[in-house]
Formats: sequence, C-alpha cells, structure tokens
Amino acid sequence: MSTPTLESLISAALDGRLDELSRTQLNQQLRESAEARATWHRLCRVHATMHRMGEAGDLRDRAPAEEVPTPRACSQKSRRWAVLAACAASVLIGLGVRSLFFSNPRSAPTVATLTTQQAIWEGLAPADGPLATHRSYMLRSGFASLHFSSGVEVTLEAPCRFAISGPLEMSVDHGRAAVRVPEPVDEFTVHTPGGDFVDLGTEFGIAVGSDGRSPVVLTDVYEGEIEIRHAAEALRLRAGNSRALLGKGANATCVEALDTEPISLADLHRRLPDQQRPALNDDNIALGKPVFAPSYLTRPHGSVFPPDNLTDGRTDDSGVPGDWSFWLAPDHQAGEFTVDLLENHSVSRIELQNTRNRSIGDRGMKRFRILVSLDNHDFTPVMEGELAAIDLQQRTFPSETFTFPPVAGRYVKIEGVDHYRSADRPMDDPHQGGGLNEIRIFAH
Amino acid sequence: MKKHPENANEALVDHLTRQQSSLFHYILSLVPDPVSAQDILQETNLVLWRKAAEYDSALPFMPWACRIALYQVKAHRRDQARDLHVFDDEVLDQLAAEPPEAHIGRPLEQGLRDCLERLSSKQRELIIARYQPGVSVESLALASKLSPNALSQALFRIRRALADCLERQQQTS
Repeated sequence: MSTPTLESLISAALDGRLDELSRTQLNQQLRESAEARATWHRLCRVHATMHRMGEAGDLRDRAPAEEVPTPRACSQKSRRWAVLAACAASVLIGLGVRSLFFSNPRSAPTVATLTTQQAIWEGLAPADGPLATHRSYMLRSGFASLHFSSGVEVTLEAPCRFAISGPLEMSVDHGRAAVRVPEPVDEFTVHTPGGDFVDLGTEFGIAVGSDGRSPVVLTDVYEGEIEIRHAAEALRLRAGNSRALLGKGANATCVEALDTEPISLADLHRRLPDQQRPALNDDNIALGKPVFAPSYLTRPHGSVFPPDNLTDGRTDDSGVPGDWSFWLAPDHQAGEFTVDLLENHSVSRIELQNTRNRSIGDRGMKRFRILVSLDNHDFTPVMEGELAAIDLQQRTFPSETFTFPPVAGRYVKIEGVDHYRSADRPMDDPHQGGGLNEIRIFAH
Repeated sequence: MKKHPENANEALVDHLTRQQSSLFHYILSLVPDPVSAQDILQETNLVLWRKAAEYDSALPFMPWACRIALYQVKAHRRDQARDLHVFDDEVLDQLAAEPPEAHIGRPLEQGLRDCLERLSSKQRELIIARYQPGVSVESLALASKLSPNALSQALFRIRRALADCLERQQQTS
C-alpha cells in the first residue's frame, strides 16, 4: 500500500478525518521533518483564520448567491470575551476594544422562530424570536423549540449544538432533537456528523453523540417515514423502527441494537415541557464540582457513564452517546463516588435522583451510606438511606431528600450498599449495578 | 489614531485583543479540533488575565502567552483519552517549540478576505461553504457531489493557495 502524501494527511487532520493509521503516518512525517512542520503551521494559520471568520459570520457576505443573507450578530468569540471584558471594564473603557468584538444587527428574512424554556446558552445567546441562519448555537441547559417558516417544528433538549440553514434544513452536531413535519412538506433534512436524516412527513427523534472518535447517532421513528442517507446508501425507516448510525463517511454503518439493547430514545421531549421546572439548583453547592469514583461503566459506542455526570445539573436519564446525564457503576457493583466541594462546608441535606438506565431498567442505587470528610482520608459516617426504584412505567424521575445534623466537610462520599436490577433477568445476569442521575448537596 | 496603552493592564488587554487570532492559531496547531481549541483559548484568556500582575510589558507578549496556552493544551490532553490525541507527546513538543510569530501589520482576516477574491469562484464558494458554522465535510461532500477524500484534497489545494497569498502579502508589507 502506498504511503499517503503529507498534503493528504494534513487535509485529513484539518477536516477531522484522520484514522489510526494516517495519524501514525502524520506524526512520523512531522517528527522527522522541520519542513513538514512548517507546512502544518502555514495551513493551520489559514484553517484557524477561516474558522474564526466563519464563526463570526464574516464569510456570509461572500457566501454563494442562493444562500439567505443573515444578520451580523455578536460572534461566539465576542460573547465569551464579554465575560473577560466585564472583569476588565475599567481598563477597556476608552480603549475602543469593544468595537472589535461587537457589531450591529441587520434585518433578515425569518427562516425559523425560536422559543425557549429556561435556556442557558454557551457562546451566541439568541433571544426568543427570529433566529439567524448559519450560526452555530450551543444550548447548554434547558429546552428550545424551532418553528420553521415551512411549518416544521423541532424541539431541542440541552446540551445541544445546532444550526439552521433554511426552511427545510438544519444541522445537529450534538444533542437530542424531536422533529415534526406537517403534511404539505415533502422533505426536511437534519444533517448530523454521521449522515443526513430526511423526514418524509412524519415525526421522529434523534440523539447525536460520539464514542469519542466517531459519531454515534440514534434515531427513533414515531410516525410516518424517514430516510437515513449515509455514505452512498439510503435506508428508509417506518414508525416503530429505530437505528444507530455508527461512524461517518464511507465507514458508517447502521445497526438495530447497541451493546445489549435495542435502540430507544426513551424520555425524549417531543414538545417543550408544559411547565417550567423548579429551580432545583439554587444553593446546590455540588453543582459543577469534581466527582471521583474508583471505576464506572464503560461499554462500546459511547455507552460511558463517568461520575462527573452526577453534578452536571442534568437529570432524568437524558443525554446522547458519549454524553449521558447519569453515572453507572461497573457490572455487579453497587459503586461509590466522592464529591469534592473544593472548600469546607457545614453539610446538612442531600438530594439524590436515581437512574433506571434509560428504558432498560436494569440499574439503579438501592441502599447507600453517606460519609463526610475534611481531608479525603478520614471519613465520618453520617447516615444510611434507601432510594426507591424508578420503574419503566414512571413518567417522572423524583428526587429524594435526606437530612441529617450539620457536619463539617469538604468531601462527601456516597457508598452503595446494594443496587436494583431487572426483575426479568437471572440473578447472575452481568448487566446490573448501581447508578445515579444527580446529587445535590446543601449547606446548613 | 491608535491610543497607546498607559499601564501594564492596558498593555495586556491591548495584546490580548490583537493577538487572539495568533493565539487561536497556535492552539489549533496543537489541538486541531476547533471546538476544543476555542475552549482552550477561553481558558488561556482567563489564566492570562489572572496572571496579569506577572506580565512584564517590556518583554514580547506571544512567547509568554504561548507558554501559558501550552499548559492549557496539556491539561486538556490529560483530561482526554490518549487515543483521541492527534499528536503524540514528542510531536506536540516539536510543534509547540515553533510557535507562530506575533502577527503584525493588517489583521489576518483582512488579508485573507483579499486572498479569497483571488480564488476562482468555484474554489471560493467551496472554501466558504466549508467554514460555515455547523457544516461538516461529509454533508458538504454530499452537497458538492464529491467524495469526502476528493473534497479534502480540493480544500487542501485551496488552503495552500491562501497560505501562499498571505505570505506574499507579508513579504510586500
């Protein structure tokens, strides 16, 4: 087999298409040649500048004529920089720096209208109302609904990175989306890193994630029919069908089951929730704090459930491959984890939300112990408790509260004593273990 | 007329403002995924701001900033599975040791706009489409009826033409 040229290797790296072999070959060429490294830097300069211009919307005026002109709103860079700029306000005032990061909106035809519920954005933060096309939006928390001028309705569930490109087209790079296409519309296309999902007048859901290297896209058809277009193939799915699209490009494959289970987007929000969720995280001192566990469940195709999920503010067995909202202990273990609150607190109340491992119902924490420590070495037992199982018929995931006399500590450990498992499987079935969606900790 | 910075903080903000493109380029050359590179840039900006008191405005800004950016890159790599790293440790250190020179003169974006005008209309449309937010190479390949490999090769030729053009501008400025 011939060795690929440096040019093709660099192209593959810049376009996110390196496989294991070409990665090794690129490293070898760069290691051995200063000239190769210089070529890498030259092309990276173009790549970086074009990327920043694209994100800032600075390439829109030069886009092909058939594309819809869009407003020049604040770039992602400018929004994030606004945080730093706020810190440095006294310095920035008078320097004219602000004008480098902000520009004025222009009017544009409305392709889709945005409605949000408890939305928190990262980078660009669009207001409810007309949404600019060809911008990459990152919904960090909450829900968003898009009403396209074509009549198509899309519900997005955070975390979700998406863009809209026209009345009949959008892309979802990461996250969960439910799409409803009304009768008169022939086709609505959702582009994902794995392939295109074309709605042929129906309702379907997708969850776009990753196994760490390649896209993993799950889809579930609720009504009507869709077509999955990947590589050179097209596959039609009818109501009740589900598939996972693994990989991308020529290597993409479609499978009917992931790991040990059929694919299901259980609990996908197909509409904006009727009621605002209560603000559960006010005064929650565990939110976003680091969590350590001796081990956690890792399976192929993005079925990875690390302990950081316990304090990410996300609940209800949501998420996508590679980015699920809950923690799972390894098979057969009740599991344990420790939250580092980063400073000492007087802790007196803990709220726990159990998991049922999506629609599988084979995992969850039962009895547990709470321990607290000042130094992560000597732990004081605080109380023992038991969580209820969340059965597959339940529509909501309750949080349970455990209170105890105030105790000072920086580290809060939860030790699982035993766990729930599927009642339909033999006792020695390997697919069982502890797990939890979220822990909230409150100071006295 | 450009106002001269009056103190170290102002000088730092001035450098940070003008060298965002160069810093992003440096980080992206070590972590080629733009989303990760953007996150690392934000972390770097915050660390640079926190370390403002350590900044000696008499010394060049970029070597100091690149050193801090490299720490952030390595922290990012520690958090990431090893098999996700594009570069091995040795190549990373080699690339990091050859950071881009601080960009002087007209902004790179401005130069690149002129260079885009020198491409054929087909090339220009292709490269602009590639860098629209939310566009993947795969979806662009489908839309342009090219295989992803053929598209990647076409993009390489366009990027090389743009890099040549930028260098010509630099030499003549």
